[in-house]
This record gives sequence, structure tokens and C-alpha cells, in this order.
Amino acid sequence: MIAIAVVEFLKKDLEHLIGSNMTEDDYRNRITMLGCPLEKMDKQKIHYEISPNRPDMYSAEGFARAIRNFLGVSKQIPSYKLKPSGVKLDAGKVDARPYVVAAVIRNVKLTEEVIVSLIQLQEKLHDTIGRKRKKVAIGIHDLNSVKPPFHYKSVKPGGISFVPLDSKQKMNLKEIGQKHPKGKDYIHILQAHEKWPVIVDKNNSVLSFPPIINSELTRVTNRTTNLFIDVTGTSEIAINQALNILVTAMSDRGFSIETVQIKGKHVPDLRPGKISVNIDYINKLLDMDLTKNEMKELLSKMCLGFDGSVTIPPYRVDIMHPIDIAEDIAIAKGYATFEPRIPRVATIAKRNEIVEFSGFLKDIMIGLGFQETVSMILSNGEDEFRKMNLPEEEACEAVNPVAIECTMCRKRVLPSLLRVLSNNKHRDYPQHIFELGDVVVPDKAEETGATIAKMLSCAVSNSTVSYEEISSYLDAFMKSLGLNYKMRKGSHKSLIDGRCAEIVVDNKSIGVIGEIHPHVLENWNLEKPAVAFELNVDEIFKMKK
Amino acid sequence: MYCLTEEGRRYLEQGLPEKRLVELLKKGKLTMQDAQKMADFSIALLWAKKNGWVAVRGNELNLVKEPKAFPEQDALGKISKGADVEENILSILLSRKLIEEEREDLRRKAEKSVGKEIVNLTEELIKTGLWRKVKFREYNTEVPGKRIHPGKKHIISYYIERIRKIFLDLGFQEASGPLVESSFWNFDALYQPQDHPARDLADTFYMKNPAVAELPDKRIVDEVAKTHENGGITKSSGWGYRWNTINAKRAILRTHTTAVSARMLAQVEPPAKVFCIGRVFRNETIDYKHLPEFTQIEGIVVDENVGFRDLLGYLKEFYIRMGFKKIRFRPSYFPYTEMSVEPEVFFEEKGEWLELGGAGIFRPEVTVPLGIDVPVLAWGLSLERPVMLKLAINDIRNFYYKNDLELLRNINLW
Repeated sequence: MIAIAVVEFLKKDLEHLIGSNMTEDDYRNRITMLGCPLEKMDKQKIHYEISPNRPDMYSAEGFARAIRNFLGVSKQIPSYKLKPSGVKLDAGKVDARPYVVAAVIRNVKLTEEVIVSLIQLQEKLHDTIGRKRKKVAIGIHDLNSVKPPFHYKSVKPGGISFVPLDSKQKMNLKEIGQKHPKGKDYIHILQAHEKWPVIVDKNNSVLSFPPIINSELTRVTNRTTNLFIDVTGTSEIAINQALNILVTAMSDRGFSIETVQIKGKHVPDLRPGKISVNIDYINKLLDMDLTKNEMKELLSKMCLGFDGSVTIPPYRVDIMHPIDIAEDIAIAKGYATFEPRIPRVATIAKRNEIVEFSGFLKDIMIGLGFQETVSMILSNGEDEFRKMNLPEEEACEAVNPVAIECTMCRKRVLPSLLRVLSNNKHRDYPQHIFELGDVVVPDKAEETGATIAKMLSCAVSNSTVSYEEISSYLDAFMKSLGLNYKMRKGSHKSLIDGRCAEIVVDNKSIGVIGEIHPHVLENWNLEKPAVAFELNVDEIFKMKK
Repeated sequence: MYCLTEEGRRYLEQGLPEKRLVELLKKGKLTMQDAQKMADFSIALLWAKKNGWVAVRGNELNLVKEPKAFPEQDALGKISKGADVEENILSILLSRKLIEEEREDLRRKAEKSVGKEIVNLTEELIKTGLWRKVKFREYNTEVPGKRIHPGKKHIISYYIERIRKIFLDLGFQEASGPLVESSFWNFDALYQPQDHPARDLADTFYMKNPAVAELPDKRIVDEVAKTHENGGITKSSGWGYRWNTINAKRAILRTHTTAVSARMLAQVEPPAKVFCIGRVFRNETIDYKHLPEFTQIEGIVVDENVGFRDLLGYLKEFYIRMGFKKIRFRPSYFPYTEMSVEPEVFFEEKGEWLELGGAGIFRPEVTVPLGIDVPVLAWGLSLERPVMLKLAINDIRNFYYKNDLELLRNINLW
């Protein structure tokens, strides 16, 4: 459920950036121990899974930087120099995406490797911390094709036109939303807003229509020498993180990073962050005896500095608490170096009584020769009600089910058993099956609006079956429980009239027994008769307590 | 044809015990001590009482109704002479083992087999002893029997039970929690930001009915909210966004049993060890690798003196008890743990390390708002994966979806 990004690297480029050749063992095992499992590898390319706390490793540059120190090729802590570009961006009020930052990158040499890495980084940042461009969107432009100062503003969708990237036609924003492939993909992000964001230059030429598309005008090619980067979004923290990750990667390529002035502030800000960490806290948690120097040494493997407190490079967006430093130290030292141990935590085991009791009931059923089955709690109205000949009832339903079979929680176990019989028509008969499982019932009195009940259902199917047979099983089951029960003639839409009964203990109905109605058999595509009973386990549990 | 048993012959001569008792009592009431002196007294009393002839008052035995006749006694006489007797009396005598089927009848039936090769060894042959004079046809004893199907546990139940026992043996308390859960306990209490991708509709089942759940104590909710926004009292920077109650109230199907751990953290006092094995839900389509529903093995250890090595210790112990020999730990990431670990076991048949779930030490951003300021070791492990590995099952649908009886009936669980 964690959004894992699979990131592709060119081995040659990676080794060039690391500054050392990598062995098979390095790729397969050592790098994995930084927390990024190898996905696949061939002669030229290698794919790693990068977890969402380390978006700085989505680029070859950032990945190489982390590996370089982790494997001990370098001990240097990365630091970044900035100079002012003289470029200004005038940020207006843009309700749809209130925040904007930018940077200038000069003297770039956009080789194939750089372009591949940069595009991948942009895409992965969009998908992860950008929440599919909703929270963060990045634009990369050829600075030389436009004239600063730039202006970030809101316009009416019909109010401005430009030629979007990969198009030959001039279109207004509304048309881009309708016609351009990227427009179709992302325009939903802006749909709720009356005015949409654009970045224009001194001559009102459009650079970017965030988060949708850039202008063809600022297209980046392998001849581009200076880049202008814009990052817009709904979270000030997130856009700065994305910008820092992107420019530090470009800096690692040897390009020079320059600031842009926005509202009197110069961005990006690449000064390292600081967090103070109590060494005793780390030592206790990790059961180590680190001195400050040893800690500094280990931190350097993670590109973290130490001068009394820990310094955090501007691309590390995951460090929020001293415990994050503890983890980096553990990773630097190597998880494999920690000897597992069982502590003495004196506690007394305690069984869940209803689980225990359920086990006892299952044993009785198994003793009677029934095969246990286990079905999903998720079901659907078709199976739960229509096929069972029952009227639709209120059930715990999902808003957005992906699988059509799974739209609600079951309220009974019997439909699950009929599904099992239906799936096993080609298997040997007789079939004696049972399930003791959870069902979920809407219940307004409960904190979560629903309550779990346990039910036991069993069924016998064969060329001929009889009520007598199933009532014998019920009798044996109830006698094994020591419960005096009665069968009270009743009717049930899933069962044949006159061949079904309520199961009653102490005047309380705790279940039903009977012969499955041929209508229901037909609905389930069953060709052999079946008999069944269903019992409420919670009620039985209460009676036995 | 019936004949008298030895007991029957004796009663024919001496009279049935109940008849003898009645005759004694006709002479006057008896104390129990005196009555007990007669032969077969207990049988006599049983039948005399059953027929309503005698009653015990205090220590005295009285005749309350003098029988006019003794049909069983008469029947014994008739049978000894080969005469017919009423069906109901016959069955009483048979049940009292006073008569039995004529040996001669048995013998006649049995004699048909003498000197022959027989298939079935019969009751008649044994009772008459004539089995000594027959030959038993030789069977082909090497043919396997006709197939029958045992009553049997489902694979999943069997393993849940086994894993339960492991954690109980290690001194853990068994917990459970709701399946329809609030986003608060499933996500917010576990420090998952409200715009986290896992909370998307595409991954999580949101409920139409019930659409919302209640939130716990305001004190807990406020602490969790502050922690998300700015770290609150946890010394964390927080996520830096505006936390929203409406998102926390949305009812979902729990996506992990870690929601149960969050609830337990709000209840327990250290030291505590709690486990839970339960169903969880992910909004996915069904194929051989994915089911929208599966089972997780959850555990927490709450104690002042535990740390990273102890986490690895519990995980290793668990997998060793599950029968895996080589275990290693790989760094990983979960929003709610730091040290995050993925335990992997070496699977000999494939020659590969395979990951089996997630574990870690809960972030202070999780524990402190719930009132726990000691380390909490935690894990949420896959149940199906190791079982699939051990039993060489490739299709996860076999577990909850297909219930293929052929597989369930034949699978070797141990």
C-alpha cells in the first residue's frame, strides 16, 4: 500500500556519478541494504524500488550520491553553493495553486544521460510528493528563449493563448484542457477554479500553464545551456522540497545553481537543516555504545553532517524527529550487524475467548466429517440477496469498489457456502462443508457504525440429501454442546417451505435449518440438492458462558 | 427360533427375581437389609419397581400392587417348549438377555460355509466357532482403499491457529478490533498524512454505509491533529499541513491490523505484549497474486527497555518457530515506524530471499499522542505468503475465493 517508485538507472552513468565501478554483489546485495530492493537488472540498466521517504533518490545523481557515501567511496558531506541569477518572479495571487518557487541552472550540458535522469526525476516527483501534480508540479524551461522578469498569475481559461508543448497550434487554456493529451489527463485539478495559473515573461509570452503543460516556446533540447525551473503547488513545504531535490541533482552534475527572487526572498534555500539528537537516546534504542566520533563517522555514510547537532542536506525531506537519525545510523552500521535478542518483558498470555470457543465449535464440525472452507467477508448484493432469493437488505457497502464481486460485507455465511458448492461442481460428492466466520452488520449504536458477528454455517450436497440427514448433524452438534434445543417449524426464502425450521434455545431463535430451495440452487448453477443449517455463534457463546 | 440363555434357564427353574421378591413380600413387608439377602435382589427390585408392584418407604420395602400374572415367566416356559411368544415380550426378554437366537439357526447358517473359501467372516461363524472350519479367501491387500474425504481444517485456519499458539507461548495477549474502521484509527493515529497515497479511493475501501465513524476522546484527537500539523508534544516537525476532522471520520474497511495496535496503544500500560491475527482489505481487483482481502499477523511490544535488537529478536523467533531457518532484515519504509524493517526468509527451493511483511519501532508521533512514551516494537506480517511458500501454492485465490475442495481435501498441512 506504500507507493513504491521503481526507478531505472543506466549502470554506466551511475558508476560514472559514483566515481567507482560496482560489482554484482554491490548491485544485488550491498545497495539493497540502504533500503532499496533490487527490482531487476540487465547489462545496461538497473531498476531499484525507492520508498517515498527518499524522493532524493529518484534521480541517478541523487541515487549515486547516497550510494557513494554508503559504500564508502566518499566521506564528503554534500554542500551546495548558490549565486543570484538576477531573475525575478513576480508571484500574484493564484487561488488554484497559491505557492510558487523557481531556480535558474546555468552552464548545463544536456547529454542523453542527464535528460533521461531529469525526466524520470520530474515524473517521479510529480507522482509521489506531487500527488499526481495536484500538490506539486514542476516546469523545466530553456531560459534563453524567454525574457525575465516572470510573472505568476491567474487568468480566465479563455483569456490567454499559446502553443503548448508537442503541439503546432496556438490554443487558449480551455482548449488545452479539452484537446491536448496532458490537458485531458490533468485539467480536473483546476476544474473547480474560475481562474487558472500561468507563468508569463516580460512580453506576456507564456512559459507554463501549471500543472498542465509548458509552452513549446521554452522547449528544452540538447543545445539548451540555461534552464529555468518553476515549481508550483498547494503546499509551500512540498514545492520547496521538490525544488531542492531537483537542483541538488543538477548541481551534482556540475551545473551551477542560481537563485530567483520571489517576493523579496531568494529561492532555493540550500542551507542544511539542523536537528539536535541525544546520543544516549540513540545508544539505548540501538543497544550501542557510540562515541560522538563514531556517530559522526556513521552519519557521514548517510551524507549527514555532525557538529554537535546533526546537519541535514537540503534534499533530505524525511527527517522530522531524532528517531529518523537513529534509523540512518542503524542503516549505516548495517541491519545485519544487530544481533537479534529476546528481551525479558514479563507479560502473561491471554487468549481471546470467542476465538477459543470458535475453535471448539470447528472441532465438533470436523469430527462430524465436514471440510472447513474460508471465504472472503467481501461479497456483493447479487450473491447475498438475489441468488439467495432474499429481499435486498441494508448492508455495509463500499463507495468505490474496484472488483465487482466485492461491493459489500456479507451478512450471512450461507451464501459463501453456496459459492463454494458452485465452484466445486466438478469435485467428488458427497460434499460436507462448513465455515465459521465473521459477518458485518450495520449498527448505528456502534462507534464505527457496524458490528461484527460470528456465524457458523454448514451444508451437505449429494445426488440425494435429506432433511433428516442435516437434522441429525444439527442434533449431534447441539448435543456435543450440551444445549437443549427445539426445531420450530418456520419459513425462509432460501429454503423449501415445509422443509425448514428455526433453531430455538430457551425460546430464542439462534439459527435456521432446512433444504435449499431449488430456485436458489438454480441461481447458483447447482445441479445437486443441498441441505444446510446456519447458527449465530455469538448467541451460542453467550448461552454457554 | 429362540432358546433360553443360561440366566433364562435358571429363572425358568427358580422363577424370575421380581416374581420371587413379590412372593416374599406377600408374607409381609421387609427391611431393606433383609430383602437384600435374597438372590438377584437388585434385578428383582429394578423390575418390580418398574412394573409398579413394590415401593420403598424409608428403610422398608412394601408390596403396593399384587400382580395378577407374570407374562415374562410364562414366556420363558413357552420358549423352552418351542412355542411362539408375543413380539413385545420377546423383545423384553432379548434385551434382558434371557433368550437368544437358537444356536441351531446360527449353526445352520454357518454350516453352509464349512469347508468352503469364504469372503466375509460373519457373526454366525464366530458365535458357533465354525470359523475354524472355513478358509478365508485371500485379498489383494496392496490395493489402496476407495477414496473417502476427511473432515478437515482449512489451510488458513490451521495456520492461524498455529501462529496464535506461537504468540501465546511467547506471552502475548490476543486482541481484536473492528473491520469497519474509522480513518482515524487506520491512518491518522498512525501518522499517515491525510493526503497520503494509501488513503486514496483506489487503495482503500471507503464505506457508503456507514459513511462516518465516531472519533475517540477529544484529548487523543487533539494530540493526533497537532502532531500532524506541527509535531505537537512529540518533538517532531510534523507534516506541516492543516489536519481535517472530516477526513478522520470517514469509515473504511481496515487496510491493516495496525489499526488494532493503535487502539491497543491507547488502552495498555507498559509492559504489554499484544497480538492480533485478522482480516484486512485493499481495494484491488482479483487475480492470482492479489485479493482484496487477506490476513495479517500483528504484534506490539510496549516496554521501557526494548530496542531495535529486541524487534529483530521477536521476528526471528517467530519465523524460526514457523519453520524457516534463514532470516535476514532489510531496511524499509513505513510512515508509522522508524527503524522500519522488512524481514526476509531464505526460501531454499527458489534460492531466493523473500519478503514477508513490515515491522519497526513505532514513531513517537504515533505513540506519544496515544499516551505511550516508551518504545513500541511493532509488526504487521503476511500470513498468506509464508503459507503459500511452504505449501507450494501459487495462486492466492485458492485461499478465500476458490476453496477448491480437491486442494483442501488433499493438502498436507503439517
